[in-house]
Amino acid sequence: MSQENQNKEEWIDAYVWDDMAPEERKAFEEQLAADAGLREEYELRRAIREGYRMERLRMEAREGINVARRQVRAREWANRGLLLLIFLLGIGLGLGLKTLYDWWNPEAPQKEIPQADVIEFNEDEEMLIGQSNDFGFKVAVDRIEIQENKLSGFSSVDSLVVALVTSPSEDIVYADNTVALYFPESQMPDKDDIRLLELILNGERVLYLGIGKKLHVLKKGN
Amino acid sequence: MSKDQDGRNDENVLVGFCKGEGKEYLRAIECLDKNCRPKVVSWLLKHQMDKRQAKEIYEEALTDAYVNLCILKKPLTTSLCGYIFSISRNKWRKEMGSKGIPVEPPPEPPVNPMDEGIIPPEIIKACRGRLSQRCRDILDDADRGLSMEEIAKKYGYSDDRSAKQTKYRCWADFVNCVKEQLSKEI
Repeated sequence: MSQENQNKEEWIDAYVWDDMAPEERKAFEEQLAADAGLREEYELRRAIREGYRMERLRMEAREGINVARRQVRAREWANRGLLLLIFLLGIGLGLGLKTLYDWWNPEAPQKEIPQADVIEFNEDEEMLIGQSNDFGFKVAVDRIEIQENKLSGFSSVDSLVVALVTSPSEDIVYADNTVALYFPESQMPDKDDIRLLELILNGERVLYLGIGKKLHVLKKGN
Repeated sequence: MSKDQDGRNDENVLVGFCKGEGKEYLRAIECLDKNCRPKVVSWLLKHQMDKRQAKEIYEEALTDAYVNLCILKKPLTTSLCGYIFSISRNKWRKEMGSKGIPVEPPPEPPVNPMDEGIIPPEIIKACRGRLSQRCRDILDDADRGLSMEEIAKKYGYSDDRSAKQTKYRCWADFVNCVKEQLSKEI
């Protein structure tokens, strides 16, 4: 490239990059109007300069969009994390409250798994007779399976309507989910103290009546 | 949703999009990605583009839409998504043309000012990629309007004269590269 050409290009570049003093700009513009060769080279360099600017803007815009996407994704994950945290806190709070409740209410019904060898019962104490619908209430029947003296299952099954009666009759009624329990008036227990326990002990079905902490045989057989 | 509501939503998205940062910008990008991107990408996938190409075309169209509407302040005469779709379709036509696959119907008039310049953007992109990182950074800063004193200070030059020399050397490399590529095309 000749020195003249190089100078010309540098002159154009200074113009397209706006690195000229006002008088020099004016001189350049006058020369531009008069010189077709200069004008052609100027047009090309101006277009390249414009193209460069566009490409820079594009690169910056794209980077901006990518950054925005990363932020959107981060926000989405943060929201999911927050929801999970709230869910876990809810579970934790629920369990905590239940523990507190159990601690403050030691009398609250708790499922105790009775051991076969500690069950107390008195078969002579016959007090389950008669039927009445006068003041029935439901008692859940706990079912326990014991095979070869090993506890193999414990679950609440079914429910029975229990009626406390003061007039004796002959039979224990265990039909239509109703059982009538006879007590002399002076020994009438609180209904909260009564529960029914169905045990299957080595294949034999036994229905126990629990009054307080004492168990009474209610019915035996399959 | 009524046309009026659609129009207002579109306007809100455009306003947020042109903010370039902040919550509204994020919402606009999220909205476009959710509502516009699937339409454009699925159209491209139905027209012989694979997943990667379709994604790239959408990204380029979104970028061009930002530059045209938000920086160059070109007026928007259609919906924002329609505009992005239109740019994507032109890019798709170009892509198909480069593979020698005829495309029907014939190309629409270009809507993307960046495709209208005499220097193809691909050449500019390629030549910009050939510059050293330092050259790119210096030219970018000069293009952003930083003075030579600021550039000299930022890049550790002893004076603005040295910085200026580097800038023009980088620029000359870039111009030569573009000229070389243009002559190859002809």
